[in-house]
Amino acid sequence: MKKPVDYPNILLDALEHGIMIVDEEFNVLYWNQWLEINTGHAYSNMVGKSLLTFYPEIDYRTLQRKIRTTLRLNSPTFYDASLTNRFIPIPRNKISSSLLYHAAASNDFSLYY
Amino acid sequence: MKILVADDSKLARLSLIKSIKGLEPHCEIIEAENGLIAVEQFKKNLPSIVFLDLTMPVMDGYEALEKIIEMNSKAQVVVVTADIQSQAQAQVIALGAKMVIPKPISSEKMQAVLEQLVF
Amino acid sequence: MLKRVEFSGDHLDVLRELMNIAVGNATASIADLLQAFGTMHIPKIAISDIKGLKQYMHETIPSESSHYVTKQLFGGPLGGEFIFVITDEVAINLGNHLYDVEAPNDADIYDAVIELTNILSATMISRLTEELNIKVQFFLPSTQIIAGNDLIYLEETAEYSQIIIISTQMEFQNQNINGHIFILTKDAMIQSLKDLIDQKLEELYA
Repeated sequence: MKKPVDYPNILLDALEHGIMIVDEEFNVLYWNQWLEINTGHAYSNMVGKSLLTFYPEIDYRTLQRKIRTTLRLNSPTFYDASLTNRFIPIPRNKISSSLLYHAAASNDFSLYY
Repeated sequence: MKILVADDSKLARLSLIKSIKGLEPHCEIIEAENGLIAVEQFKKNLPSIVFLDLTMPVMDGYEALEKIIEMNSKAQVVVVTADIQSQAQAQVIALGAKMVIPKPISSEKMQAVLEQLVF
Repeated sequence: MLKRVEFSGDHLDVLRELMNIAVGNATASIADLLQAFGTMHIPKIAISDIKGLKQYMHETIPSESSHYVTKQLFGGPLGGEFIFVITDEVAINLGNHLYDVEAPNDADIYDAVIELTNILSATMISRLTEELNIKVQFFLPSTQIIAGNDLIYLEETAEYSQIIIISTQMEFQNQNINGHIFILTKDAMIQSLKDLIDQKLEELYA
């Protein structure tokens, strides 16, 4: 597994978006404050563990293909953000409008909610 | 040494020529902007190497390749193409091309090609 | 109205050649990332206006089907719009192929369409901009289902006086997937494209 991103990260935590960084095997390398608050899972609980443990319902075949695409093309890939297609459930009134990925650095992969 | 560069795109010809001249400043370059001119120039000049594009007007690269190989089965034809799928590659190798290289060609790649074909 | 930017034969030649390379790359990326092997047509390039664009789309896209139209903007030193158009029937085939299910649901289909658009735009535009020594930013794509072939709304485009249309077609026969791609850039961006091409030519003549 790749080295997690040090916590807290002033930049990632300041954003009003959920940001996670995962490696190609879905191990969580960062889980920002927005996600901590909105999912109820703390960074310390998530980091170093597989996303699979917490969110088995995600279509990992698709996720892997998207991760590969982003890393290969060095360009963001996107999920359709319709109501039925939310990446992970966020219990709140307003439904966030979009989800996108972007390759950070060389091999990490960040996910933006 | 004579080198024939056949491509309908002026940009593609210029890039190839610049990259060849950087490595072999004294070679003579003959240009052709379609397959038919390439075949005529091949007959007239007997170049040591032919760089050939596949999609060209009047006569495409596949047909030009066949005609060049008919004239000289030992002709050293390098197909330079944007179609980097293996199907197209296999087809031109079967027709007698020495190698297929994807566009755009870097000067490192050009060096490797010239070294392999000239020496 | 802005002054028209005149493209010479050399400018068009460069754009055509760079797009050929871009299309070759996109075909290879799709084969690699989506396991779909096929061909893409040599791109057509036209300089037109809104009326011409509407007419071009009417001639290219069949009027009798419904279409998934996915648009993705890109911006930076060169900006424009990437549009990918497939019929609803093909969208289902695409959903089938990517999600490996008999009857993909709407979300799967939307997602598959966005994914393919993304790969096409990222490979084609990135290859083009790499050759022009610049970087561009991609924005979130959006998909709409449109009945017929009126794909461009007048209000979206009323202010554009000059448009470069780059269009191509992709076909993946085994999966029954084919679609039309349009890359549109307009007005001030046409001037920057021309300047970038001039730089590219200068580099080669140097």
